[in-house]
Amino acid sequence: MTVMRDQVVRQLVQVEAKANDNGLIPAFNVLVNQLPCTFWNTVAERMMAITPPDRKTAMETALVNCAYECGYHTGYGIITSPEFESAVMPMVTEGAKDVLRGAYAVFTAWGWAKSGIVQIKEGESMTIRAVDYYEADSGGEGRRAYMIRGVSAAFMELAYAAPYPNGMNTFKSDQVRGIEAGDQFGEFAVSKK
Amino acid sequence: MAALRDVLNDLVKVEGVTTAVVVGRDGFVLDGVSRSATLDTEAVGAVISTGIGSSEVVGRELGVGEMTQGLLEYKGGLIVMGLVGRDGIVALVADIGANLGNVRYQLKKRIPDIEKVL
Repeated sequence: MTVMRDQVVRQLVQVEAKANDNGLIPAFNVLVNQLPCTFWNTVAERMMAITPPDRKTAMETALVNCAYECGYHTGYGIITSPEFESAVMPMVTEGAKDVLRGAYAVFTAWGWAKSGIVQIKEGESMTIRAVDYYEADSGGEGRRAYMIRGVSAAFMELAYAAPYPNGMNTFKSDQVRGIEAGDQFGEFAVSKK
Repeated sequence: MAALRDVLNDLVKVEGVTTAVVVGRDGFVLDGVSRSATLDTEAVGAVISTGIGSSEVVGRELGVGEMTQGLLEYKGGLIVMGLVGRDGIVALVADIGANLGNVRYQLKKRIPDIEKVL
């Protein structure tokens, strides 16, 4: 037995996404919001568009880092939440690897990216594939799935680096394929820095 | 090096094979090709990953070692499954009249190719 993503997705899509008085949705130990994908894509597109050519790499790194920081803290909230405890943890038999599988099932259920683990060398490296993700619809040039890229490194930190909140900056993530760049799917290689 | 899709396309060219899918242990479909109008590769992925876990438990409990290949025969067709490394499963869905020996052989022959491209 391992984490069965289909079961996790089916359970999690039933979680009520109802905003509180501040417009935020309390779920999975964290506060989330519901905004159109085009909003997030437009933010990244405009940031990249106004950046001079010689600073584009730095801007790309900054965008990935935003996702990384968010993924690390939000990811911790998710994997320690009562919802995760109830939907995923009963199926966890392979430790951190299964927690990661569960995390990508949540990622999928929430509509961020239909994604999962292709290969993993525990504590060393991981390959993630995404067959559908909102950044695939973004405008711009080259591979630009900053969100999945950053969050994938963050998830690896949570699984294998020092315990939260001291586990940052152990892993990095590179995008090796992208639907937005004409590939059949997006692929992300997470490895040690 | 051939892409995963190329290997799967080759597998569905084997006589009688209608669907070839590679899934992760958690049921995440890495890629799939189907000649069947009614089979959804996503659905195949989800059920295969659940089923193979049970088969592995049977092997362990009966002391016959690790699973290398699995075969299920139904009234309307065959399902042949193989393990790809520690984290992947390849499953073929075939017509009931397919040459089982050939389907098993083709799957076994192609697993190293799938391992290389994952």
